[in-house]
Amino acid sequence: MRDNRKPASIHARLLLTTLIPLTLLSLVLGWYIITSQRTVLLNNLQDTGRVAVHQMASNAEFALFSGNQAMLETLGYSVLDIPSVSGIIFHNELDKSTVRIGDVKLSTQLISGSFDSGLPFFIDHHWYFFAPITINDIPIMDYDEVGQPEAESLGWVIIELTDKILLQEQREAIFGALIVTTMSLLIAAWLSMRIGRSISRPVESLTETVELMEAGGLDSLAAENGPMEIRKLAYGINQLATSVRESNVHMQSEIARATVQLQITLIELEEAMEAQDQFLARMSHELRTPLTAVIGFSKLLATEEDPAKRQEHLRIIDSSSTMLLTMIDDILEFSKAHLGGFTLEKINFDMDQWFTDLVAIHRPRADEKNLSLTCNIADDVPRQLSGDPVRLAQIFSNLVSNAIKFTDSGFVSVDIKRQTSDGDHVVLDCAVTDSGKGIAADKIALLFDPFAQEDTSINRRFGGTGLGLSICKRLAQTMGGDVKIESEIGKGTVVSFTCRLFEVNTLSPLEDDQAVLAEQVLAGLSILLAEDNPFNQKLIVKLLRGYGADCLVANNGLEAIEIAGDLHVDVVLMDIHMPVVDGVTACETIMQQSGESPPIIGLTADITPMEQQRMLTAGAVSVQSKPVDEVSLVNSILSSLNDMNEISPNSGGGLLASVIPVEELKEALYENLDKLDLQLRSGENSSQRQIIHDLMGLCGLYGMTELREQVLEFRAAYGALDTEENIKKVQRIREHVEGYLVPDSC
Amino acid sequence: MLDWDSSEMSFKASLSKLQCVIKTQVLVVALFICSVPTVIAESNVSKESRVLFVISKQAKIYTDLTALVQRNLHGQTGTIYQFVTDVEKNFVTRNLNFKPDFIVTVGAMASETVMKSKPQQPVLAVLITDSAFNLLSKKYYGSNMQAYAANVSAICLDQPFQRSIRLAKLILPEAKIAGVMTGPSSKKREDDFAQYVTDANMVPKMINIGLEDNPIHLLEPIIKRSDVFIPVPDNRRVNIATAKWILQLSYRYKVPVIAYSKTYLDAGALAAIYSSVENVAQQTAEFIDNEFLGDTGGSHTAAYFSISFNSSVASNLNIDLKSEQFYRAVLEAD
Repeated sequence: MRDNRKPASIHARLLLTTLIPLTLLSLVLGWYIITSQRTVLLNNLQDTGRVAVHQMASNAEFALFSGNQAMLETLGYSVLDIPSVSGIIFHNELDKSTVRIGDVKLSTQLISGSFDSGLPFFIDHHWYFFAPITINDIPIMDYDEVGQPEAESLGWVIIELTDKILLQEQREAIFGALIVTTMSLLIAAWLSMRIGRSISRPVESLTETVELMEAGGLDSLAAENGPMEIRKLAYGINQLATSVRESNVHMQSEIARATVQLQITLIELEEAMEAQDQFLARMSHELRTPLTAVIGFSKLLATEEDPAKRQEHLRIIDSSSTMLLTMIDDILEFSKAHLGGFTLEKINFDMDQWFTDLVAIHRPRADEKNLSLTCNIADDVPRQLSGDPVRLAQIFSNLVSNAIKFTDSGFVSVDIKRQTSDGDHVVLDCAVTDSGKGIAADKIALLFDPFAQEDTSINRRFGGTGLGLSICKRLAQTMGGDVKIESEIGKGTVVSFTCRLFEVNTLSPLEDDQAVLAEQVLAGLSILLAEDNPFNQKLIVKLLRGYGADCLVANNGLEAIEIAGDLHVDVVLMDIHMPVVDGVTACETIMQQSGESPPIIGLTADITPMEQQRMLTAGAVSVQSKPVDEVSLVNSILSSLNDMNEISPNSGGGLLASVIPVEELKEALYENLDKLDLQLRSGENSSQRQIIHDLMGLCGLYGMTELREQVLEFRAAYGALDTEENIKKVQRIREHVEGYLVPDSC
Repeated sequence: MLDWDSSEMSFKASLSKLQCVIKTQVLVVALFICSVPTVIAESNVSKESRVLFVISKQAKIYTDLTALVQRNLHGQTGTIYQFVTDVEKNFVTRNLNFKPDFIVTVGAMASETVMKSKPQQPVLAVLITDSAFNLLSKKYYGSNMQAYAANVSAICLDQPFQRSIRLAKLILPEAKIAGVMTGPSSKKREDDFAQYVTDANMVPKMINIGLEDNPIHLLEPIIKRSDVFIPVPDNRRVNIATAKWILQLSYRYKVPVIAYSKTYLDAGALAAIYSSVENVAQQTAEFIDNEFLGDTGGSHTAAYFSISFNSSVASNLNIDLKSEQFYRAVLEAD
């Protein structure tokens, strides 16, 4: 059952816990003071009475012995000076006389026998103290052998003390005690409130601060005062608030930055949309112009009978059609580049021949404008190159065409130099220089924007889509270079670009589809290869196809599971180490799928028995070690299908060595090493492990034991080394590759 | 309680009380035989004397006295002394065993024990007041003369009255009136005392206090009119009963008191002239050396004296005192 009572505040609880004991303490203290004061006052009264009566007994000895009543009265009145003494009685045993001094209430009948005990006697608000009066002789003899005689009784004295003063003093004592108790209570209450406040106030302050913070007032600060624990709590709250405030500021900053970026993007998008609209409008206009010419002159051609005019019409139609075709080609090229980039071919070509053909295309137009077209290839430029000669020619054609187009007189020269070389790579520095009108500096950057020209008049004067330089830039970047324009109004323009090509000393006799086919023992089989390394994929697929197999490729374990579940597969070749889902898990999953599971052959570069046993336990029929032994792999596939056929090492061996040229292997290794080098220099380590894994796979695949050991050593150490040392290690691996993979050695 | 009175009834009652006290008093029997010091006075000693000291009780004052006596003996007669000291309770046994030639009693109780047995040997009573010796002599020998005849002698503690008067005049040369208190025993010598006072150029104011008198009523008028007051030692009861009131009255009326004991002085008197243990021992030794041999009995006054002052009382009474040596020298010259 829920307790609906309002919980007491900390202040109230502290007040109670401190006030109750302090109140009790004050009451006990008051009670103690009162009782002790009463006792002290009574004792004082009795002491006064006792002292006075004994003093009086001693002093009255002479007067009583001498019968001097006047002296007795003098003595008696001197005692009456004591406030509480109300009377005194002297009694002389010698003459049986009694002297009463003061207002003595005690009757003679009560005297006899009342004071035998020697204790004070209390009657009717009066205390009575008794003392005998005796003669106490003093010793005066030097050689007294007998001793002092017994004291002789002379009489007695009684002193009467009233209790009025005692009662008055007791009342005053009680009053004083009550004042002390009250003061104690007040002090206790004050102390309780102080203590309570000293604890509750900081807590309340903290509560208010937290409530303010909840309401959004993160600038509020909790006061760090009060007890140590409260101070720590306030400090923690302030730290938390500061952290939240900073986080908010950071978040707001991020939002502001993202908003600005979004606005910029929006503006760019709008500009792009506007440019696209303008482009479409211009394209529509530009396309309509030659098309209108074609249509118009075609109609005129039908009606024109003058042969010369017909010939002129045909020339215009041809020219317009060519222009139209060029425009359409440019648009298509740009679209292609925009969507997915260019795919470059790798074709060996002769530089001199290629350049001669290129210049021959443009020389007629240069001649038409009486322009000097000169060409110069530096001597250090390799003549045998590998790359995409078509795309390279496209760049040159565009630049030369533009140079001729915008140069009315003077010259156009084409220069090709060797900028750098790195192994088989060679970077060419190409430049097309003209003596044209030049381009304004502020317009140069716009030339690379799609659909943009220096000004719209150019389009109207010279035609063209304005996509040429943009396409050239994309092509140059795809070739590992870039385009740069230097121009001066009235003097001319130099458009230069760089591109990366392969130097070919001896052209490889083998092409991708030149693999030598051996016995078609795997003909008709559908083999699923699960392998994450593209190079390995390419190698094994080519190998298997060489034996007549149809190959399906999965880039990871998950894809392998899906393909094996959806398609008919006769055999699965499963790499063990793969991303997303590893080979062991994929193997287990495929074996658990409904229906008949295909036999699975494991592939691993790990030679430990434990790794192979894991794969066999997961359901693999056998495990092939990398580097792949061609004969063993093919025979293992046949064995898994209970096919009694078998190939011998001499029946077509060497296919593995032939399917992947050394250059291609080196290129793959270099590509990975370049990536690794780039990531090390940039400090990015997101895919370093994957790159190292791929390198190890390549090494394992080709049995490059020493290289693999170097890569393994690098993998073990690269996390603990700095960037420079890692880069040096990568360089050593690269040097090892260069020294190891000469074309004839692989 | 010893209560010597001239009346027979009082004497009998007092004697009865004395016997009771003697019987009931617990005294430690400590037999210590002092080394038997042999004092050889001369090389041609021919006689040995055996002296028995009988002391009232085993207390320091008595043993001191006997020791001092032995120390002061000089053997002037060529006698070799042998001493035995014992308490009065064992007197008879000791007397039979030791067979002394002389008996010295120290204190009133020892004197009474010895005198009661009436020994054959000469007896010297010391450390006893004149009145006590008179009472014992009368009690056991009939009179002083008969006691003397039985070779009983005494050296009394009481200083001659003239010394007290002389000392009073020396201390208070301006004093004109001297109050003198006598008791039952000294009443018969009042005239002598008055004469001594007169001889000292002062007017005597004599007062006699009886056993039944209220001393205050009698003493107050005398002390009130005196320049100096001198109580004469007498019956013990009178001495004690009057001392307190004498001192109180002297304090009240600023009258100096010349006391006869050191204890009296300490109780409040201005000065005291008295016989100290050393004084008594010296006189006793001289008596033994010079007179015991062949001397008949007799009562001898104190030959030596001591003087003491209460400086507090003197200060309160504004009296300038000279040194004790000064007063002693003057008195001895007299």
